[in-house]
Parts: sequence; structure tokens; C-alpha cells
Amino acid sequence: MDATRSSGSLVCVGLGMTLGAHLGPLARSHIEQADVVFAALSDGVVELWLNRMHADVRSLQPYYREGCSRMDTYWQMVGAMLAEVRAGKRVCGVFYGHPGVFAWVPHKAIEMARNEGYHAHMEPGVSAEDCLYADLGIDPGAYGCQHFEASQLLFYQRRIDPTAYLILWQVGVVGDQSMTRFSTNAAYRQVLVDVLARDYPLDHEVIIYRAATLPIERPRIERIALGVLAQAKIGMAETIVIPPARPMQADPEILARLNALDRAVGMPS
Amino acid sequence: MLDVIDFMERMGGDAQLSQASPSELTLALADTGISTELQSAMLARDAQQVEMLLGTKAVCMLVAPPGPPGFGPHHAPFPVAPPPPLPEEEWEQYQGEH
Ligand SMILES: C[S@@+](CC[C@H](N)C(=O)[O-])C[C@H]1O[C@@H](n2cnc3c(N)ncnc32)[C@H](O)[C@@H]1O
Repeated sequence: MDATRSSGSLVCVGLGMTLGAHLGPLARSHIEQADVVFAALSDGVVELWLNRMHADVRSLQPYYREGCSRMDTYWQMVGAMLAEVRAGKRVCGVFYGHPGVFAWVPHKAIEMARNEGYHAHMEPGVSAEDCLYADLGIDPGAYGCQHFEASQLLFYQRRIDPTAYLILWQVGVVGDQSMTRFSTNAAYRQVLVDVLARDYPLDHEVIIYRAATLPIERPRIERIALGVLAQAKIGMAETIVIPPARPMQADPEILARLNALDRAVGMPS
Repeated sequence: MLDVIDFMERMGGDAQLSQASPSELTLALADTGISTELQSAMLARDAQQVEMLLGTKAVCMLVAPPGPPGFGPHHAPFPVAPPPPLPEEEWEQYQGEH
């Protein structure tokens, strides 16, 4: 592997969630100064906007085909970007939101480019997560906040902490083991509800959230009971937020230890 | 003369315009060269209609794999989370074999 190879580079940047609102100056400059730009964005209008920033913007959209494994699609996306890096181009991958948040392709492309000796890095962007904290008035530090890819909660035995916020991504395709579908139906969401019902009462409030992608839009904020989540309309762009269901429990043993330490250092406790 | 993309870029980045009331938005749109059809879609905050009028379509936007167990190294040559633990009998059998 040639660690000193100089030409050919990759940067993955985020366009943020809302057209015109979130793109930072550094990310914009990377786009403008690249030789080739690849794009995986949230909607067609945003793609039109990006097309104005560079003469050679190549959409990664055509790689998605319902019925084909998304994993194959992801590899094709990585391959398309790396081919240009290897050809000596300065490549910029543009992703909606934050390029490293619930986004496998940019991480993998950067890792592979680095392994081959090319300069590759990521610039952060404003993700759906950032928008939801603002739009829903949530501070992840208040009670803590767990994030899961929704299917992972079904495929694996995960430990949910119902005293913290729980944020579920990709609920629109929850339970799709084939990775070939763009949506799954209410029956799949019912399995998710059943899993969540181990930790939450069915009348517990859940929030269906969708950040605005165009500045003319308002965010979707819909509060419903967990019990009817399966029947709700949830697409690819929705994120589900579950507020804490129980108060945090004090840990007397640890508090006693801390009190003893306080006494030892002469602190009033 | 601003077109719809220029206008939305400006709107997204402008403190006042991004919070505009319907009448302020109507006024701001009147100064542009945007078609009346598009203007009404924007005033109705109807993103789908805007998409349709611009001839763009909804896109797939999933780039994060959930990594189901057993998806195999060919399909998931990334550090997948380890598969769920085997049921107890299978585990004993597995240990016996190894
Ligand atoms: C592959 S992830 C990409 C996330 C993106 N990289 C980011 O920074 O937000 C796709 C998931 O992000 C969330 N998402 C995407 N667009 C969203 C939006 N407009 N509002 C809320 N969540 C969104 C949904 O959970 C969706 O299933």
C-alpha cells in the first residue's frame, strides 16, 4: 500500500437537512473545489440545488433498486466514488444531514480510500437528530438518549433504558431482513410495538418526527400512543422519538461511596 | 429575478424569510419570476406539489444498514454486531463440538 500517494482524495460532507439553511462554508467549499461530486440526498429539489454548486454532480440514486439488496447498492456507491479517487480526482461525496450519522456508505468509502493510501476525511453536518432536539425541545443531556436503528431492536437483544429518551431510525423499513425493500407494513411495525411494549405501557406517548427538508415546509410532529404506532403512516424520512417512561432511580450504593469520599476530603455532603 | 431554487436557498438562509407569515411570503414571492402554480404550492407549504411541478421525484434515502444476523460476509463485509446468542441447548452442543 502506498501511503504517500498524493493525487486522488475523498471528502464526505453533509448538506444538512433543510435546503439553504444548514450547509456550512467548509462543506460548500469542498463541493465547489472538488473535481467530481457524488450525491445521496433526501429529495429531488435538494439535488437540483446541489447541481448549481458544481458542474459534475453524479447522483447515487440510480443505484437504488427495489428488490435488490441495499447492501449491494451501498457497495456500488462506495465503488463509484473510489473509482474516481483512484483515477486521481478530488472527490466529494455529499450526503443529506450528517454524512456519518446512520450512514454506512461515507464511513466505508473513507476507510477504504485511507487503506489504499489516499487522503480521505469527513466534515460533519446538521443531522435529523440535531433538528429534532431543536424542534421537539429535547435536551439529550436531561435524561440521556439512546439511538437505535429500529430493525436492530428486533434482530438483536438490546437493552432499552426507559428512563432515557429512545430515538428510532429507519422505522419505515423496520424488520426488513432482506434489505431489499423501501418500506415494510403495519404487521412489521406491530412487532416493533410488541418489543417496545416490554419496556413501555401501550398508552405511552411516542412522537413521529420529520424535519423540514425544504424551507417552505414545517416539521411533522405527531404525538400518538405506542399502541397505535403500527397503524401510523411512517415513511423513509420519519424518526420515532420515545420520551422517558419512568423516573431515574437513585443508586444508594454508589451515592454512599461518594458520600464517604466527600467526608474523606472534608466536603459537606 | 429569482427562480424557485434560488428563492428557497435564500429563504432557508434568511432569518426573516424563513419565519415568514403567509402574507410576507406572498409578498416576497411576488418579486420573483416563479410561476403562479409554483408560488401557490410554496404558499401552501406543499413540498410534494413543488416536487411534482419541478419534475423531480421522491428518492430513496437509506444509507444505513441494519445488519441482520446471518446476512453473511459477502453481503456484510463490515463489522456487524455479533449474532444473537444461541439458545442454551445449541450453545452446549456448540461447546461440545469446539
Ligand atoms: C440512512 S439514515 C440517514 C440520516 C442522516 N445521515 C442524518 O444525518 O440525519 C435515514 C433515517 O434518518 C432519519 N431521517 C431522514 N430524514 C429525516 C427527516 N427529514 N426528519 C427526521 N428524520 C429523518 C429517518 O430515521 C430515516 O429513516
